[in-house]
Amino acid sequence: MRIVFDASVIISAFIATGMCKDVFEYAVENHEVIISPYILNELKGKLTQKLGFSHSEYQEIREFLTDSILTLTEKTGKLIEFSDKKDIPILNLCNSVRASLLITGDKQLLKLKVIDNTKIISPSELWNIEREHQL
Amino acid sequence: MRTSVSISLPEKLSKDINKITKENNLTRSQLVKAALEEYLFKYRFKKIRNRLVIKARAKGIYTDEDVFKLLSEEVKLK
Repeated sequence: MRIVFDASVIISAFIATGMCKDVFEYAVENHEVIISPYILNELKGKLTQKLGFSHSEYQEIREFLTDSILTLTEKTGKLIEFSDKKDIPILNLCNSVRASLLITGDKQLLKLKVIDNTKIISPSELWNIEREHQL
Repeated sequence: MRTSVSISLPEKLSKDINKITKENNLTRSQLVKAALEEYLFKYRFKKIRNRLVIKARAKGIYTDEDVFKLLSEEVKLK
């Protein structure tokens, strides 16, 4: 499956204890995880400006991500309509790369549930999807 | 560019590699490359995490929920 993670889930995977770390690690090893320059830029802003981590710590994460997972760029334009404009490039990326899953902690995005071919799920829901695939 | 690496393995490990390569229709080289890639991913991820988790805890960030809550709020941590 092609999977896109939003910046908050990726940050959590690197700095916190919980499901995000396990889900991210599992997805990279077992699926095709996609990131984009837009998500990396969001990650930079949230990690350094909101959470107070250093620029060099962001660079280290960025280098690791670009070495480990596929970086693609979303098609631009109004492919998707969504109330929170800052999430539109992420939805456009999912549409452009035909992602099966968008894994996010954002409550507004989670309310969408599905958009085009992409299911929008919380980190823990990945295990339910894996279970369904194995049945 | 590719480089070749010659390694010496205990007999048991070598037998295990042969068994898995047959089961999965892989060459020994493919299996060892995949194993090394997985090891290096885990190693680098753990190394970065170990440092950042300590720093996050000093800021009062422990769980995924802490991260989501802070990122959804209009607050800025020191």
